[in-house]
Amino acid sequence: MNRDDKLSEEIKSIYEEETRGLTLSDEFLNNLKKNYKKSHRERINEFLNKEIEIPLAPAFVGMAALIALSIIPKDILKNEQLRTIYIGSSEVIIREQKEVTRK
Amino acid sequence: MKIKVKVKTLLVIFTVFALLVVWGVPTITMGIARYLDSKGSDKASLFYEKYANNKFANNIEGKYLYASSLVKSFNKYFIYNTGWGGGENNSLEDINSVKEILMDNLNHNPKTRTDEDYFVKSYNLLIETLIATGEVDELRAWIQFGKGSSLEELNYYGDIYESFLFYANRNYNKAQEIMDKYKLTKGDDYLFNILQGEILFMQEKYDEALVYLDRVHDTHFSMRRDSAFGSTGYINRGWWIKDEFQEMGYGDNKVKGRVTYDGKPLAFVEIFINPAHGGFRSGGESYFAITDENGEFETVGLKNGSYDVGIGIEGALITDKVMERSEYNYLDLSGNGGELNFKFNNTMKITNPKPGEVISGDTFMVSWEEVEGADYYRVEPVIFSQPFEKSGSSFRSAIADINGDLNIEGTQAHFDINKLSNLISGISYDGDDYIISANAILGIFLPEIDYPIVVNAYTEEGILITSSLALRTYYDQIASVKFGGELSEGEKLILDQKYPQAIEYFENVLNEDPSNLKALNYMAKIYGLGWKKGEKDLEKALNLANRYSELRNDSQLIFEIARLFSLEEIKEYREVFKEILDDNQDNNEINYYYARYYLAIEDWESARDAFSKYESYTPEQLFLLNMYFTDYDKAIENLLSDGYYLSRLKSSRVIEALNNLSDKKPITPDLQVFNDFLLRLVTGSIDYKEGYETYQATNRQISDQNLKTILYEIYLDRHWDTRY
Repeated sequence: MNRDDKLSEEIKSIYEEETRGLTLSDEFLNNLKKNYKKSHRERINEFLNKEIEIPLAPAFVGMAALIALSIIPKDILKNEQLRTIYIGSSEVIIREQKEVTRK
Repeated sequence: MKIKVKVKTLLVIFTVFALLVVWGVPTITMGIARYLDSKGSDKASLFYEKYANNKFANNIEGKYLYASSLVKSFNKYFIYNTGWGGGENNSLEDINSVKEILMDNLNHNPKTRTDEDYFVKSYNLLIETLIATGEVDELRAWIQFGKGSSLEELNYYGDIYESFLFYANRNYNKAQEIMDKYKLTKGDDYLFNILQGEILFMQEKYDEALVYLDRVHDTHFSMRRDSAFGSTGYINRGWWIKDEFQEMGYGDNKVKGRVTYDGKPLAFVEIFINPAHGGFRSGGESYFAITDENGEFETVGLKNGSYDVGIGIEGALITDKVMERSEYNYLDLSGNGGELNFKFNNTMKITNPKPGEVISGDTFMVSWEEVEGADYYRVEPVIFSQPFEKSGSSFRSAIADINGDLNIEGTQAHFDINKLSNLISGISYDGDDYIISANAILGIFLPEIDYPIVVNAYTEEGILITSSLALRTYYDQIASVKFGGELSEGEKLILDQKYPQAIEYFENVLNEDPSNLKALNYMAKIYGLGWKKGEKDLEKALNLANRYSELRNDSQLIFEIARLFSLEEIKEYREVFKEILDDNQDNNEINYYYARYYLAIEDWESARDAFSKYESYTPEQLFLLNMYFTDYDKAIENLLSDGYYLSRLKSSRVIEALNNLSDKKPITPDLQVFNDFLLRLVTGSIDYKEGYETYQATNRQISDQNLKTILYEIYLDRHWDTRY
């Protein structure tokens, strides 16, 4: 331990001795908090650690819907059935549109 | 339920989710597409499309897979004189989309090895599509694209397709020059072997061709392609050359011709040839030529004989086209080759009615756009055996307008449904009991039923130029009429072929109202035609039809019933039958029925006279009766007339035999046997099952070679050689 360290230890113990039993008012503490400038890192950490409440069911439904919309073609519900009939030497295609109803 | 979650946890979840969207969604989409594809579901292409449009997906692969899902196959649609059909239902819209997608794909630079693979596949599929649809200019441009590509594989395909173009244009030397470049390096390539085999085949170097075509056939399944050069017929070519081709090929007769659409050439159409035995068969491998870029073709040499020449064309191309029937004949080859053209024309347009038009009155009008070169038109409603479902068998026949004309001049005609309800057509029988079809009794234009209307345009000689009904079309684009009102209970019973109940129903109607026209009409037909085997009652039918005719002051129904009498029935009711004919002198077909009357009473000379006055076509009976009366020149005239049915009797062998007979009449005993045979044919008394024995017995008793030739051709024409 060098000379400077000894000095700092000494100052610290004097300071602790002098402030023992001292109580800071709430107002002072609030003021202190209010005027304290947080660093960016602290802010980000604070934000990342912030807890938020999420309704579970809508969240899952929303995500599933998003995935489904990205995968399922929009015309999937349209059920166009093609049926070929013959009239003489002609092939006649009957387009039977059957839309699946969404109930 | 809610959960508390830290923002940093949420961010991790979002990141995972985003990765899932970027990587997982295309993968899942493709997985679903492939699964549906393997199950043959039409929905597969929707997922391929979704994949192709996904920004995070590999675009070249996705677009190729999407395009290939739209093309079902390049199986050909066959059109022979004797039949038609086959092919896949590639729609014209899909084919155009395929070209667009693939051309777009080929404008990208492949970055990865996978990209490169699908780039080459895109190129191949595009060229296959262009060949299948006969687009020569586009094909030529894309061949150059392949040849100029930095990809070696594409250079090869560019060359091979260029060689194909030379081959199609019958420039076999140029085609071979290109093939020689790859002889050592590509000897195991599927396309190379196909094309090399074809180049040699078309030069009639069959043994050499077989070396390559056998390699094609022996190619491992995994190495084969779905199609090659826009066709699927190549795989069994070797087998066909060794088998069926032997019967027809190796001759001196080359058939030439042209395939056109509205005068413009149709390129890369395959030309098929079958012996003129009646039906047609083709698995796609039996083509003898393909058309060049001018639509012209020339087959390899064929043996002498009668042939049915047909074409194989991509199914999408027949949409909105009509085949002109100007050369509707078997091709007779006797050493000098032959020529046959195939002409497609655009469809004609019906301006009234529109599809599904509802008619409220008893008359309706059909109008159409004028067709250049048409002398007359015919209007034909289409009737289905199950009209509500539009299924089962269908038939159509021309209907007379309010003036009684079948052949209509001008561009519109009016029709009276009351008159048309008397007509009897579409007769068919179901099951062992021969239950008659409902259409035969009910006639046409019933309420609630949609009847498609077809208009055909003909030349003065009766050749079909075009029609409103294309070889392939959509039902919702066809003009049709539907009449208001409701079907009666009795009509519904007939429609369901519940005839005993229908008879009971209409008997009750007639008890209450003896002059009910519909009941009289249906009951007359039910008894006149016999709703079931053994249930014919001509006395009853004629009585009912008479009552109907008196009430309507119109003898059409009674004529309709009488015209369907068998020769035995005519004989039994000869006086009544003759009277009915005398009362219906205005009928277009009257001479045909007079001829039948004379056949029934065995007045052969008068029957021949009546048949010769018949104008709609040349009846076979007239030809047979002319031979019976040893008027061989007239018989030749009959055979050569356009109105004679599609028959191998029109061949040069029969004409030559008839000419010989004209010069030197056969000896009397031969003539007697032959004439007995002819009369049995004329009166329809040779059952199909007896044909073979009848032919054998007749042939044994005849020594004249010319009569024997004619007899043999009749035997083949009637398919008596086919024994089941």
